[in-house]
Amino acid sequence: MFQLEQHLQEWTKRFGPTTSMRDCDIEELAQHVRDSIASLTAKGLDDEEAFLVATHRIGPACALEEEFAKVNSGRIKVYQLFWMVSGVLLFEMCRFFIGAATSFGGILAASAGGNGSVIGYSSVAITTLLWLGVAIWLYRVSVAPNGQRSIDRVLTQPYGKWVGIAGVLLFLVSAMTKFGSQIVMAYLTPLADYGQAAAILALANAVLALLIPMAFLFVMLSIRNRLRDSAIT
Amino acid sequence: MIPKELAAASSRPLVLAILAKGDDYGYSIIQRVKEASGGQIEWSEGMLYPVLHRLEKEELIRSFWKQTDNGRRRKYYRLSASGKRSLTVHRDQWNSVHKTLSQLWGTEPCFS
Repeated sequence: MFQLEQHLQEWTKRFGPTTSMRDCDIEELAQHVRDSIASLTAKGLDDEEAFLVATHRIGPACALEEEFAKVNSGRIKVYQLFWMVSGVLLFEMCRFFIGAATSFGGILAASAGGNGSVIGYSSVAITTLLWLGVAIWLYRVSVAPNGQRSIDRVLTQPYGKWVGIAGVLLFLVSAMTKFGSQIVMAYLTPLADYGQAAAILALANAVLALLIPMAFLFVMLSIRNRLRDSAIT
Repeated sequence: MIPKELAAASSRPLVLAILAKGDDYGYSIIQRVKEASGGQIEWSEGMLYPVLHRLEKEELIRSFWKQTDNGRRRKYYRLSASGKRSLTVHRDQWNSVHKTLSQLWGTEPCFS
C-alpha cells in the first residue's frame, strides 16, 4: 500500500533546513502537490502514479530553490550571518571552557605543591589536549551525510582554497603576535610587574569572556526572531 | 506551444488578470492559465510560486491562508489596488504589441 502522506513528507525533506525556502513556502508547495494528486486520481491514476506525476510537474527541487533564492535573497544573507555568528559563539564557548579547565588544572598543580614549570607545563598540556579534542569533534561532525566533508566543499569552491590559505595565514600571524609579545613581555619586565599586569589582564579577560558571547547570543536571538517573523508573514 | 521565454514574460500579466477575477491559489491559477490558453501556455508548475511571492513583495498582490476541508491550509492570493493599476499598464503594453503585430500580419487576428 502506497503511503501518500509519508511520501509527501519525504518529498518536502528535499528542501534542506538552510534552504532559500521558508517553511510556509514548502507547505504551500506540498498543498499544491496534494491538489495535483487529487485531480490526477480523479482521472483514474492510482496514488503512486499520481504522486510521481505531480512531483515531476512541480519541477526539480534544485531548480525551485534557485528560483526562490532570487526572491528570498535577504533570507539567505541572514542565514549566512546566523551560521557565522554561531561559529564565533561556538569558538568563544570552547575557549571559555578550555580556559576554565586549564585554570582549574593550574590550581590543582599548585595545591599539589608544583613549582612554576610544573604549573606551566600541565596547563599547556591540558589546553593542547582539549583543543585537540575540539578539533577532532569538529572534524567528525563536519562530515556531511553524503560522506563529503564540509571543508572539502569549501575548498572545492572556485576561490575557496585561497580563502582557506588566507584564514590560516591570518590565524598564524595573529597567534604569533599575541603569544610572541607575551613571551617578550615576560622576559622584559620584572616578574612581579608581569604578574601584576597579568592579574589585571585576567580580570579584563574574565569580563570580556562573559560579555563577548553574550553580545553574540543577543545577535543570534535577534536573527532567529527575524527568521521566525519572515516564516510567519 | 508557447516557448519558455514568452511564457515567463507573460506570467505577471496572466497572474494579475486571473486574480482580477477573484481570489485564487497557486494550483488553481495554473489550471486557469492552461484552460484559458487552450493548453498552449504550460508553466513548470513550481515556478509560479516565486512569481507570486515577488508580486507579493512588490505589494501588487496580498496573500492569506484559508482552511481546506481536510483541516490543512491553502495560501490564497488577492489583487491589491496597486496590482489593479499594474494590470492596466500591462494590458496597454500587451495590447500595443498585439496591435502592432496584427497590423503587420494583416487582418487575421492573433487571438481574441
